[in-house]
Amino acid sequence: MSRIFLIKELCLSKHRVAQILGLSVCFAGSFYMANVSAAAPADPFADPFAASDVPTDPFASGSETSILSLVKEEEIKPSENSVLTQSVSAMTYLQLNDINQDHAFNPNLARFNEDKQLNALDYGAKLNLEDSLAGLSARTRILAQYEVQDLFGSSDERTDSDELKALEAYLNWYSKDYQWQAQAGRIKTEWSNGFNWNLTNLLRPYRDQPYSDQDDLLQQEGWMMASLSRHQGDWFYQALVAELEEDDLTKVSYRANQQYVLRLGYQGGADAELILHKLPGQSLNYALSVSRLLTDAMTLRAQWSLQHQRNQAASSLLADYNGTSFDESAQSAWQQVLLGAAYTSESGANFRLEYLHSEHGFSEGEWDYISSNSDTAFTNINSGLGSSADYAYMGSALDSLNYGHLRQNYLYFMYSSPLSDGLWQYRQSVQLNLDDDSQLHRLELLKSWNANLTSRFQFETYQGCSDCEYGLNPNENTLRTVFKWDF
Amino acid sequence: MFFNDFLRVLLSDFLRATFKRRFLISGSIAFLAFFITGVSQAQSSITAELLVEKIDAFRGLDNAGFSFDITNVSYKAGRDARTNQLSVDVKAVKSLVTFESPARQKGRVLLKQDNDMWLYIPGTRKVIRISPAQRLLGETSNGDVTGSNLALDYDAALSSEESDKSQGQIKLTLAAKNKSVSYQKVVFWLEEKAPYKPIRSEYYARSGKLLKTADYKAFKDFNGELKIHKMLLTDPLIEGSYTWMLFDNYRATDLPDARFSKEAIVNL
Repeated sequence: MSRIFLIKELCLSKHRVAQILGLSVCFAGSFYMANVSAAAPADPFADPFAASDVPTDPFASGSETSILSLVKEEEIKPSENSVLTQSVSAMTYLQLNDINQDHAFNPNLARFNEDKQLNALDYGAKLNLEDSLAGLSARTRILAQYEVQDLFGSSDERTDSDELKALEAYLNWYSKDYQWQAQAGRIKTEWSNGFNWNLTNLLRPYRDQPYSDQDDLLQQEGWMMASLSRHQGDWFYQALVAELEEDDLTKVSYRANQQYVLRLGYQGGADAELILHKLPGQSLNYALSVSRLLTDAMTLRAQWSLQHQRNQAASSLLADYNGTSFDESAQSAWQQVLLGAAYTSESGANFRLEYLHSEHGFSEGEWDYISSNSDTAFTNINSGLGSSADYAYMGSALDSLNYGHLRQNYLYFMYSSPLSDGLWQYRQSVQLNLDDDSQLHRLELLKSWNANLTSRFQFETYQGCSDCEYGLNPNENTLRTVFKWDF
Repeated sequence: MFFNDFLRVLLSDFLRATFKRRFLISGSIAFLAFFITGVSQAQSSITAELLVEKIDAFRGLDNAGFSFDITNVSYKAGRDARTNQLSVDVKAVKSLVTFESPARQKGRVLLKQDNDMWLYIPGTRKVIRISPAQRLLGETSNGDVTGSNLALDYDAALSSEESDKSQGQIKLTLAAKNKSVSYQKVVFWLEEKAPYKPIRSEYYARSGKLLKTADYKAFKDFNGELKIHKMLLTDPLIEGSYTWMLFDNYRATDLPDARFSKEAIVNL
C-alpha cells in the first residue's frame, strides 16, 4: 500500500513538473494510472482489455494468430481488373408437398406433384475487351438445370425435364468517364425498388415472381435488347428497344415485335425514376418509383404503374361479365400502387412491411362471377355433364393461378433475425390477401456453413377458404431444403 | 486554448518569482517558454473543424479518387475467427465497396453517397436502398467499411478537460447533424501534435449507449499522406467481440463520378 502511495506521489509530482514543461510523463498504462483510476478523471486509454483476451494483430507476419497463412497471397494483393472474371454456383433443393385435395378449380384435370427436386448450375462470365476497345466487355450468364417431379412416386408418375439456357449474353460498353453506356444482347433488367412485388418492371413478358418462388432462376432470363444510357450528375436517362417474344404468359398477340422504353432517374436523398413503356397498338404505359432514407435505420419506398394490358387472364374468365362481351366492358388501363418501409433495430433484426393495391387482380364482383362460373363448371365436370366450355373455363381458372395476384389488396410483412454467431438466421414472412383474408406464411432457417456453402430450410403454409387465393394453391403446405455452393 | 494560456501565465509567474536571480537558468526557461508559447500559438490555430477534416483525410475522404482493400478478421468467444475481404473505391462523399470474399457474398456491391446507401445483389440484378444501420458484414457496420464523412455529418467541439490535455491528447466530440447517420455521437482522441493521428474513437447510439470502440493501431504512408492501416474494433456490448481491420493497397485511381451510380454498379 505504501509502495503504491509512493509511486503515486512520485507520479503526481512528476506529473506536475511535466505539466509545467508541457510533457506527459505519467501516461496511460503506468502503474499510477492503473491504480488510482477511481479517483482520477476517467482515462479513456486505461486499457479496458487488460483482463480480457484481445486477439493479437492477425495481419502481423509471425503472429500466432496470423491470417496470412489462411488467406491466399493473391487475395490480399490489390484487386486488378482481370481479363476474364467467372462465377459459378451450384444449387440443389428438394421440396415435399402436402397437396390440396379439394381444389375448387381442379376436378381431377391436373395432377399436382407431391415432391420436386431441382439441381441447377449458374455460370457467369465477364470478358474485359478493354485492351482492344476501351470500356468494352462481353458478359454472359448460363443456367443448366435438371428437375424431377414426383421423385418418390411410381415410375408412371415421375416426370423430369432439363434446361440449358443463356439467361444473359451481351456486349457492354462504357465511355471513359462512365457517362455513356451502350448495351446489346440478352439482358436482365431490374428497375424495381420493392422487396416482395416489382411494379416497375414493365418489359414483356413479365417474369418476376419472387414472392412466389425465390429459387426459380428462370425468372432471371433477360430480354433481347439494345440500350443507350447517359449519366449526368445525379441524373440518368436510358432509351432501349427490346424484342417482344412469344408471350405464352399473357396470351397476347402483337402485330409488331418490338417494345420501347424511356427511363429518367434521379439518384440522391430521395431516389426517383419515371419509366415510359410503349407496346405496339397500345397507349403509353407508365411507372414511377420513389425511395428515401428516413432515419439511419429506416427506409421508405413507393411505386406506381399504369398499364394498358391486364396481367390476369381476364378475357377468358370474364367473357360475359356484366352481360356484355369482355372487350366491350373492359377498362382500358390498370393501376398498381405499392407503399413499403424497412426498419433495422439496434440488435440487427430487420422488419419489412409492404402494401400493394393492384387493379390487375379481380375485383369482388369479378371474383364472385368467376367463383360462380367455376363452381358450375366443376359440378358439371364431376357429374359427367361437363361441356367443352366447362373444361375450357376450368383450364383458364387453373391457369390464372400462374399469373400473380388473383385479387387487389395485399399486405406483406417480414421479420429476419440478426445473424447469430454461428451464422444462423431466422426469417418469417406473411403475405396477406386483404380481400379474402387468405394467407401465405413462410418460415425460413438460413445457415452459412463455411465461405462457400449455404443452406435454407423453408416451410410454407397456405391458409384460406376453398375459393380464396391462397386456399386455391395446389399445395396446402410445403417443405423445402436448399443447398447452395458458391465456387 | 485555455491550457496554453494557463501555461504562459504560469511560466511568466514562475520566471519572475522563483528564478529572478538565476540568469542562466531563467534564460533557459525563457527559451523554453518561448518555445512553448510558439507551440501553443500554433496549436491555437487548430480548430475542431480542421481536426475533423484531418481525420477524414486519414480515411482518404478527400476529393481525389482512390482505392484500397479492406480485410476484416472478426473474433467472438467460442468460435473461429472469420475473414472477409472488400475492395473500396472512394471519391469525396461517394464510395463503392465490392465484396471479394467469402465466396457466398462475392460480387455484391455497396454504393454510398452521403448517407444514402444501395446494395447490388448480383443473383437478382436488384439494386435496393438500404439503411446505414443494416448490417451486411456481421460485426462490421456499413459505415465502418464505406467511411463516414465526418466533416459533413457532424458538428465538432474540442474538449476542455485537463485530463486529456495532460496526456498529450486532444479530445474531440462530434454530434450528428441529422438522424440519418449511423452514430449520433462520436468521441475521438487524437495525438496533440501534427499530423494529429487518431488514437481511439467511441461511437454512441441515439440512446447514449456505447456501441463500438475503434483503436487506430497503425498508419501507412501513401504518396506522402498517412492513411489508417490497422484498426481494432471492439463491441462493448458483447464480451470477447473484436474485429481487426486491415486497410491496404491504397492507390490513386481514376474514378469518374458516373461510376458511383446505381446504374453503373450493375455492370462493374
